[in-house]
Amino acid sequence: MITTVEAVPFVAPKTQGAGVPDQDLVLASKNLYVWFGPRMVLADVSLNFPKNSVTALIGPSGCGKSTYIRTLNRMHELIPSAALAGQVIFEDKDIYDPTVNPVDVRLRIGMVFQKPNPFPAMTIKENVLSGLKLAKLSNSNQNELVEKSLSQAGLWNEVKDRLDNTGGSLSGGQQQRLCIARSLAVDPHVLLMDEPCSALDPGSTLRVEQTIRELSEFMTVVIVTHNMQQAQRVATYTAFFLLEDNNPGYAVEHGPTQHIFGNPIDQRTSDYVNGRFG
Amino acid sequence: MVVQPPQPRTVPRNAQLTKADRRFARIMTAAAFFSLIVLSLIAFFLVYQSLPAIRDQGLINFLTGTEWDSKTTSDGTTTEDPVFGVAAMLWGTILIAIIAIVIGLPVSLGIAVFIVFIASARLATLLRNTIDFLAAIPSIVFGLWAISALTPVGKQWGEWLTNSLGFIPIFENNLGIWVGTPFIAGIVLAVMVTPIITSVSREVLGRTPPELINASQALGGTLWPTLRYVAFPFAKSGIVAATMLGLGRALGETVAVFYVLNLTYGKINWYQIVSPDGGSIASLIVAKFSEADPLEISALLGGGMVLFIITLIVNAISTTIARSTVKDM
Ligand SMILES: Nc1ncnc2c1ncn2[C@@H]1O[C@H](COP(=O)(O)OP(=O)(O)OP(=O)(O)O)[C@@H](O)[C@H]1O
Ligand SMILES: [Mg+2]
Repeated sequence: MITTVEAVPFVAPKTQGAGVPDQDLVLASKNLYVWFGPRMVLADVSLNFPKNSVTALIGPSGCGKSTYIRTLNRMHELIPSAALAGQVIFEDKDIYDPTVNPVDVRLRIGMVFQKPNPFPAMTIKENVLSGLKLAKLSNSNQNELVEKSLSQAGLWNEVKDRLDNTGGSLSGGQQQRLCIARSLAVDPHVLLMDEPCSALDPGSTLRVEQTIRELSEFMTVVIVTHNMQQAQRVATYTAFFLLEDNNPGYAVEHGPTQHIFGNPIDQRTSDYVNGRFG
Repeated sequence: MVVQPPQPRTVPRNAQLTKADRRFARIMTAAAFFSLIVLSLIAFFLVYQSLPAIRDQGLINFLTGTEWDSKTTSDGTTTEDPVFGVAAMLWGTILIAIIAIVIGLPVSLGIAVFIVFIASARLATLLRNTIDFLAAIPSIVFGLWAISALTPVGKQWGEWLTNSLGFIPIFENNLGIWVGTPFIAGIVLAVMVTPIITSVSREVLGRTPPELINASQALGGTLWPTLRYVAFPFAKSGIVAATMLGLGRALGETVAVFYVLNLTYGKINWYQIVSPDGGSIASLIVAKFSEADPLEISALLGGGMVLFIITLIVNAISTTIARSTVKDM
């Protein structure tokens, strides 16, 4: 259940930086406030995600990156005490509009989690197709869909001969790409990734990053990461989140990745990306 | 240079244990052996005590016969040879246990799902405590409840089933009596097995990893698909084990069944569950024990042995199923 709370008067710090152009947006949050119970954890977050871009969300632990990303596909409201105010515009429509079905939102905006989580009782093939079953969708050519999704996730060549093995028989990096394939199979327009590489070794990490770059040719990606090199390797844009004292977290600076890392406007951004705190 | 590969060094299996650990381990080992010994002693006792009756009747007759009559009149004189066959009681036991599971399992799963996935924290706690309380009620209380409150209602339900669904063989009733039926006994047992099945199912369903539930939700899975494709497959072996535990209780229940079930000898009631022809080995023992002569007591203990073996088989099946589903994962 979601109780949409009206934003109370609140002096929210302005997000600095060059931002991103307003045109050709697939996804955007507008004046988003988020609560857990009575505690406001995010204040006034307005970020734009242009079509076929990769945006990295960075910031110290606990500043609300995961919380934010979960508001973008209505996963946040599944936590009992969760509340939010503001808007998330996806393809020109507010996803929190009462007429919108959250299931449709989650199918168009997929999510990959920190820990690879293939369904243990299902085979590789069943894992890829699980979204169809879970959302009661039909697809006439399942084999083609399996191959397409696994290829897009960069896993096809490694698993094409053992599609009937369980997902658990893969390495951690392969499992994560299986999870990406599973999300892709329901044809999302946006993929949200919450620290997708933090449980992986460097080799698997590079492999997933390459997948992300390939995906960004036809879809929009938002990725939370603690890895500054990773943000610079994959992201077109970067947003820096921060939580200070007991205030809610907010987006300090947002703009093209070269700006955030090369010549940030805010001193705190500069300190963070240069490893001076966090 | 040719070198001889070294021998692996042996590490004592309990090298990591302290002295207190070792003492504790010894006590635990003794306890484990003790339970094995007790189990074998029970088995031995049952076999030994039932031998006279089985010798008298013949094993095949004892297992396949349906009559149970000591042929002893009230003044203690015996005119004919006694006949003791457990088949009708044995099948009756299984029939009411099946009814109990068919009714109790869906109800239990429904409650468990509600507690784990739907109810608010406070309601979940309340329900959990209520169910656990139900498990602690002595079966004599269930028996009294069954005879005073359930039987009149169960009679009406049975009558309704015969009148509206009597064309299905299991709801046939040729006697026009709807009390003392396996159906009513099955309902009592269903109520009695529900707490066990619910508790264990709730426990295993509650252990579904949250990341799997998240994954399902992120793929557009609502409650039912998430249960069907994620939570139930994960909890499958636990639910099977829970069902077997419930079955064990249903098979062995004595008093509550004795109060509400009409025991019929001489034929096996295979499937007419709303007909007043029931059987139950445990109830048979209660019904006959106090007035039995030594041979009949031996026969009753033979019935006990059959029940014991059935329970062991149920347990073996459940262990096998649990193990094979664990392997699947
Ligand atoms: N389920 C929850 N209930 C209550 N508070 C929560 C919940 N989840 C997160 N929070 C709080 O919200 C704030 C933001 O948490 P969040 O997980 O979004 O941080 P994060 O930026 O993703 O951190 P990390 O980098 O460590 O993953 C934290 O203060 C956290 O304590
Ligand atoms: Mg996080």
